[in-house]
Amino acid sequence: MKRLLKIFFALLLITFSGCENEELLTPQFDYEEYIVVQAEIQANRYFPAVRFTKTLPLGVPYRIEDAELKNVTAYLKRNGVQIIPLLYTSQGLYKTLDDLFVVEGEIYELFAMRDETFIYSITRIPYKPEITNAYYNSSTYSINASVNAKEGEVYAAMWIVTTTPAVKADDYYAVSSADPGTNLIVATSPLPQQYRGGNYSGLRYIQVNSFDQSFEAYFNSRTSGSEITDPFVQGGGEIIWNVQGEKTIGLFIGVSRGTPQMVF
Amino acid sequence: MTINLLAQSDKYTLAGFVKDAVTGEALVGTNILVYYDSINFNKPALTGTATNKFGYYAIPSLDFKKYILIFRHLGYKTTIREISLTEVGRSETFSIELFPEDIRLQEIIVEGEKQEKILTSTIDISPELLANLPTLTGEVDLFKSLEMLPGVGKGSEISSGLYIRGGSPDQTLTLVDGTILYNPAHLGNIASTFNSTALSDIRLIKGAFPAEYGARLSSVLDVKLRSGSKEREKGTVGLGTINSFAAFEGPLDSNSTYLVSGRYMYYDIIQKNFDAESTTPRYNFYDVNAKVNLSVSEKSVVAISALYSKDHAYSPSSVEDTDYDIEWRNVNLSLNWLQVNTKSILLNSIVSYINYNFISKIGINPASLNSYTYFSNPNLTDLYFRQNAEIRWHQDHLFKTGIDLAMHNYDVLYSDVYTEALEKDPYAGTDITAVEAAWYLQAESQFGSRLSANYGGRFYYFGSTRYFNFEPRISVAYNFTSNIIMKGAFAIAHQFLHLIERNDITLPTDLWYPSTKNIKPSYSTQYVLGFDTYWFDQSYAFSVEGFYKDMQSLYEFKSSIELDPLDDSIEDQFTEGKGEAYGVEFFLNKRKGNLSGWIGYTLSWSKRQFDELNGGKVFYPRYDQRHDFSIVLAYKIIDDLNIGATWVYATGQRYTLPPGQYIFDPVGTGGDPQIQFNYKGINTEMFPAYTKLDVNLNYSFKWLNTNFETYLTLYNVYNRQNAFAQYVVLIENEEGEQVPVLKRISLFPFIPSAGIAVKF
Repeated sequence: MKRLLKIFFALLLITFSGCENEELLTPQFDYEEYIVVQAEIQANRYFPAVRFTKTLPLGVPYRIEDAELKNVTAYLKRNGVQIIPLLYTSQGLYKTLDDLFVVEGEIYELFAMRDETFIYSITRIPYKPEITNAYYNSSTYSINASVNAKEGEVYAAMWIVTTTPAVKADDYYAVSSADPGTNLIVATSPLPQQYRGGNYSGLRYIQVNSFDQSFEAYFNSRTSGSEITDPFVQGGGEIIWNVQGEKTIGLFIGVSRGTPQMVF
Repeated sequence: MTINLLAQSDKYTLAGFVKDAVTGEALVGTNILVYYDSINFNKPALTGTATNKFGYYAIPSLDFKKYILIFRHLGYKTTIREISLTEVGRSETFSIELFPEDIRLQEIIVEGEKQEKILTSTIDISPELLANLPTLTGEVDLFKSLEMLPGVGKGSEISSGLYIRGGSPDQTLTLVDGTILYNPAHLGNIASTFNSTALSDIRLIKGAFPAEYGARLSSVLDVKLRSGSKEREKGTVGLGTINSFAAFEGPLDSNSTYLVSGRYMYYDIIQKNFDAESTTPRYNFYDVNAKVNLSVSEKSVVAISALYSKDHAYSPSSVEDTDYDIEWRNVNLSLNWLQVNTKSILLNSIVSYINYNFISKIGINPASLNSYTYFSNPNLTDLYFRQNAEIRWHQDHLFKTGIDLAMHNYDVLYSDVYTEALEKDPYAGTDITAVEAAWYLQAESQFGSRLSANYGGRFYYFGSTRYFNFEPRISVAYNFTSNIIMKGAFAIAHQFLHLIERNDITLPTDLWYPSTKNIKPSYSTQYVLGFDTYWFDQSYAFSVEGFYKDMQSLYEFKSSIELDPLDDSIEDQFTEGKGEAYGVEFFLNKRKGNLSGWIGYTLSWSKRQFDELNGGKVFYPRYDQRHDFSIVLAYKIIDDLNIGATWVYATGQRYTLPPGQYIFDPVGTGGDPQIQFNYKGINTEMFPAYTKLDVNLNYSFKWLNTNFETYLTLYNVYNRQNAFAQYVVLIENEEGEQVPVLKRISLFPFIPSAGIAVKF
């Protein structure tokens, strides 16, 4: 090992040069038109509207006047008996002729036809969530609520801090479900660092909303359609919709908003 | 020199090892020709054989006569020995050492076969050739070089492992000195995790492998490392632009040698200082290899090996939307005992401990304030025992048999939320223990002068599923002439361990998971047909091989996964499917002379079908490549100056692109409608063709009585902006409207790198 003494190093010759390169291109791929349907039907409110649009190709700005569909024939069926026509108003929105008050437990079906495409969906309006307990979880920094699970419903929650102005979570953290009659823990996303202290203990709320059960599959798959902002992420997963029809995507969903619960 | 060996019956087996007289290394592929008492080159030899990967040979069925043996090995002086078989003892060991010739090697080239012309889809690669090929780090880059062979696909520039004949990297069995390596390559195949300065023998079997190999679906990479020189203490210390390495070897005493090496790659430090805004993952690794070889007797050699490697890839601060921190670690300890018993049966026993740990912490959209939304930590621990026996009972028939016993423990931790407490919780995750056992029997036979075959079978048992099965294997070669050989093969293989990766993330997210009651073993059926031809005194070889591989019970993650370890079983997040791959490979190989190398072309298809992915329709995996063309050349300009070049042109990697955009309102939370993208299928589009030219210059010189080796590598000479990723982003036009356009990222432009190594 004495010969180790003979070792000496020589340094690198060329400086390491810059790496990745970015360029923006106009996409030139086959465009395939899809029908897009959306309606969020809230309990204890008037029926809002169903929006019918079409997808647009990449490389052009999204304008509602280019995307809206005006030639859809659509109607609702309430509780399997009452037929309610939907009429085009503007920006792809189709509304009922008269105000239609939505009640918990009702079942709504959507029937629509555009050219040769038949569209169908069904949803049940969930009941207002029945919260038995709400508390701040200091280990996960989330606000949790115990909810009595009901048949065909799933639950998601957001935190609210009633500062001035009030702030709330941008999104749900997760969608939870359980067997009917059991107690279910629903959690918000972690509170931001600045709202975790004791001085906010009386300002923290949790709002739990209940949804038709088809929301869970949509929620868990929805990011597949989001914009990608990182080169190491690839889109292309399937979003699980509850609207049926050839080359049709969309969500026709019943929602019931809960009353915010204060936690300490 | 005359040697009197003893015999007691009418037939005699002569066996032994052939080694390098200077270094003591086993010589693989030494030809041994046996003549009666005089040599007449006008007549063919009485019989002959070649040494196997341990440098071992056996010649059975010899009479009690005087023989002359000729030992020939490229680069070594041909040695002749006279042997008289006269007395007691039906077999005896006769080992010999060959002396290297002073002249430089003329033949250093990849060979389609060495001593076993029976095997199809098999390529033996010379370490000397690898040393002359361009590499980014200046070290021998085995995996990048293997990617130049037909049938071996090119993954992305940061993917690791080998994509062989439409199979994923986990489908290749990597053996280093007989021990399994779960992750044999560092990120981007930038280097192997084992000591690339000590490569002794490299064999790649691309499909339909013989019965002695198992536990993987598609292919085998069998690497043998040197044992360390018995001549004197030697060392190599190298300093490069992105990594440095050191290797030392020498005798411990007259019967034992050592070899130890280490390497540190500091790409992240270079990036931070020279390219701070780069979004390329920050990356470093180090590895340490050690081997001690002990010759217990002429018939018995024991080797103890250890390997430790650790890789770390993490997101640079310049990336805001994705946060990741990924570490993986290999630990391998093995004891390898090679012995020849009294009946000239070669026994190779291996006991090994393997630990592979992989930690992925990834936050794709950290807006949720929970920085990591995907956490997985599979920890694999194996205790292996393997014993192989090789018996040449007849000149035309070699039998191999062996057993594999393994105790596997898989501790798989996963979650959609990361906390340190969870990572350290010894009771979290899924803990599975399984026993795997296999027994194989294999024969290599010559039937007459033209037909030869490698045939056998493998019986498998996997404990956690109580799965028992049989795998037949056969490979046949027919020599129309000495220069035209027709080959065909058939094999069934099983794999009990699945590598399940995230389809939506191109970073490494290895999740190895064993077969269980619900997760079936994968299995493949493979067919190969082709021919080899040789020209100009075998200076040139040309081969064509067609292959078809059917794969069942493959597993991938579902499109959307839920990883709450309290509510969801990880197995519920997997989906089962099947696949097939087929194609044809062309390989023109110049094997002799100052200019050597090969041209390879592959036309192939790889397909997958999962009921729960892509609407149940068939799709192509990312690494499906229709065309793959490569040229590899090495030229010896003068004795101390070599130039190497590689050029590749391949179909671009597949990726998923949405054909349309739409708006959607956030549901239940309020807020403005957002532009979303409608994806119609998986991997429907392709990147532009991948093409790249790399050139390498090696120069050796002596200064102050010390040997130096320098290299200059020009990576991506014509600065091709090969796409690493393409995806849709929103930009604002002049009217302030958002417009989706395509963003292309390319990683490695023209990079000159240089380094120097000191050898003493």
